[in-house]
Amino acid sequence: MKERLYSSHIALLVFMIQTGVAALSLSRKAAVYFGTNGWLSILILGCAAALNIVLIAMVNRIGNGISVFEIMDKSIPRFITIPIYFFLTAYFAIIGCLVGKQYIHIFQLIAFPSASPLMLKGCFDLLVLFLVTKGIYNIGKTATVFSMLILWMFFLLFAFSNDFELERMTPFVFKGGRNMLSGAVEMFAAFAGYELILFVMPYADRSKKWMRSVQIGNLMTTLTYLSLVFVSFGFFSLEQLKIMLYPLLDMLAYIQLPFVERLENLLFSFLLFTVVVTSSMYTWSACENAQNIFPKADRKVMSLFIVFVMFLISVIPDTLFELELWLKVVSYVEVALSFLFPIFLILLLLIQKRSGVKSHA
Amino acid sequence: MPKRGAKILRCVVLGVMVLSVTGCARSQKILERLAIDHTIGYDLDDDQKLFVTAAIINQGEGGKEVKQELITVEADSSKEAKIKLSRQTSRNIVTGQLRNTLYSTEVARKGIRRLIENLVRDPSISPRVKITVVNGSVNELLSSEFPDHPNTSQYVDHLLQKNWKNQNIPQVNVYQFTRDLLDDGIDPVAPVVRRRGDNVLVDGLGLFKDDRYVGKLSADYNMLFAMSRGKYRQGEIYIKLDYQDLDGSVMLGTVSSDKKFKVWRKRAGGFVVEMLLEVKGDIMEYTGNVPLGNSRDIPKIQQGISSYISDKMERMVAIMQEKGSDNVGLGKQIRNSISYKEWKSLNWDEVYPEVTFRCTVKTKIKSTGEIMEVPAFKP
Repeated sequence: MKERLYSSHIALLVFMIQTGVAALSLSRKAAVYFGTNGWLSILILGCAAALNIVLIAMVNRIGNGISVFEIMDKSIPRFITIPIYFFLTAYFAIIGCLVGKQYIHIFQLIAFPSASPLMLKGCFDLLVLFLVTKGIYNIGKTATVFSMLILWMFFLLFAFSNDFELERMTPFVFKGGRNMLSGAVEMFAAFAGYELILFVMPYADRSKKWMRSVQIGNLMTTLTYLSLVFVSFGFFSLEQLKIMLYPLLDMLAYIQLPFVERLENLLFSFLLFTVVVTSSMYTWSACENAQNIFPKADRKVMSLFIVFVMFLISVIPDTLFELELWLKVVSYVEVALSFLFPIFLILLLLIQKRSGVKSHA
Repeated sequence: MPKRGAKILRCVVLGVMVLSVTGCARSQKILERLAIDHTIGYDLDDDQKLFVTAAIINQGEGGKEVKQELITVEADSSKEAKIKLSRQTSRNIVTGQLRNTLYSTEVARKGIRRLIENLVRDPSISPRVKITVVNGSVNELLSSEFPDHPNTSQYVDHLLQKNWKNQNIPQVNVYQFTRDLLDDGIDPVAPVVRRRGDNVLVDGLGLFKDDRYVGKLSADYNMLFAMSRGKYRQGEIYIKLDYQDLDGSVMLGTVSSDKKFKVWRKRAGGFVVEMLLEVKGDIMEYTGNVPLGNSRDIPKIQQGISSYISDKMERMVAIMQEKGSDNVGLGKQIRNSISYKEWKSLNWDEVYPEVTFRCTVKTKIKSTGEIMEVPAFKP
């Protein structure tokens, strides 16, 4: 295979997987769980994600870039790995479909209250299917192009300078919040997604630099979230922020241009690009896992099957409440998985190395 | 072969997408069939029930004529009103273009939290929808006909918009009202309008304590209030000089201002809040006795202006303290200067009227206009 994912692609891919619908409610969660000056929590979460990426980098370094499946298959018998792969397939597919469904639900809330969510989700899943069947290189390139359609939105933050007030932030740090720890885990879901890089390892450029670009991607996400949440803490009052379901949407709705207002419908559509990439990458990871269960299966048929099952699953949660609850549960598992899985792999690699050294001796 | 299969699959998928998208046609909206809700007004009727007036804009056939239609209904809530209102019109009522909400002082006195809450909840309503108090009956105002302005609801909206742009009144919309309502160190305000003869005029600034209207600040204070709330740009202010031997009046143009607050504790308990205000402007009109030509006398006029502004600012805050509404946001300043624990244990409603407010103004006159001084004529 000549094609490789280069480091710039990886940075943007990580950024695109991480950012998504979670950004809409991030400011509210920071206000509810951390209280005054909750925007500082984003820094802590960003650092936690960076630490986690260091763990993944260690897997990459110790294993010399071999795939996760190779590492597992080497020392674990197949009757144990198959259920693990099965779990991972189902799990990634569920995340992929929930992320998409949440986007569709919000889109419906603000723009198409009378359209059928199934039809919208169907269209969305088609986009995901097209991307997934094209393979990881094309997903990477698409993410690069799509990121250009998203990154400019950062400058919209300057639209709020008139109503932004530092005094509103108060000098208190993390006062008036509740359940900080479980809240942090829930908020961490906004950062999750970089762990999929574990499966991208064998497809990446062999140079040592590419792990650094994962960190750059995470840094981009952290800075974007930080500036976004910081601005919302100066734009809204704390108690107001706590009651807004999606503060970012309200901020977008507040932007007014001389010739047009109520821009949120248009601007929200741009988020589709990042959500499609997020959903596609989870689906792709699910396919990677499924491929290891059924090595001989046709990849395209499998992708189609997985996307179809995802579509069926997404029919079940039909209210925004239910969906948020599902996502909350999933995010707990996600955080645990993204820390424990690399540690588990590192342990496996160390054991393999040791026994390898012994056998050579 | 597989490539051909993929192509066929793509065509089928594309076809399905195109066909399914035609389903969207059901929700198409034809302008001539819509009743565009422009302004909603709330009054209380004799039984203290909510009386809702909606000013609706009907686009005539061909897109030329725009007519205002008023429909009224008695209801318990704004959404119930919408359902009842729709029975009275042949068109579909849409609220996406809502610009203004009017509250009679009676309604505002009872508290408007519930009404505002529903505006925030509805995603079709913009956070920029204005909030305005009407001195008198909203229904009467909207149903009055003004000879120069065929469309009353739009007239009121444009009036507010213009006055806000000229910084005569603060901009108050759903977002800003909710923001100040829910902030613990400040109370919201809203402009007050009323009918006078063949016109509508801005009657002053409505002061709110939480969500209840508690009184009105006369329109003379508009500039000062704007200065106390934020950076002030490009305004005009008329000042009566009454300082030492100064008399007459002065009109400052292109006024800009910047403010800072200082907070400290009184020995006997309680707080002192000092506002340091810097005002810059050009003299546009002057009728005083001190000649402007002499640059040594300019500081004297500056002091005169400063003393006028600081006296009036202190009087304005005293009015608010009397009504118990903290619309300047002294609470915010005190909150930011003490510990979280102390702020939370403070009974703000009791502390606020006892806060000593001082205003220190520094005025800078940038120029005195295009002339030096007209020489006095001998009798």
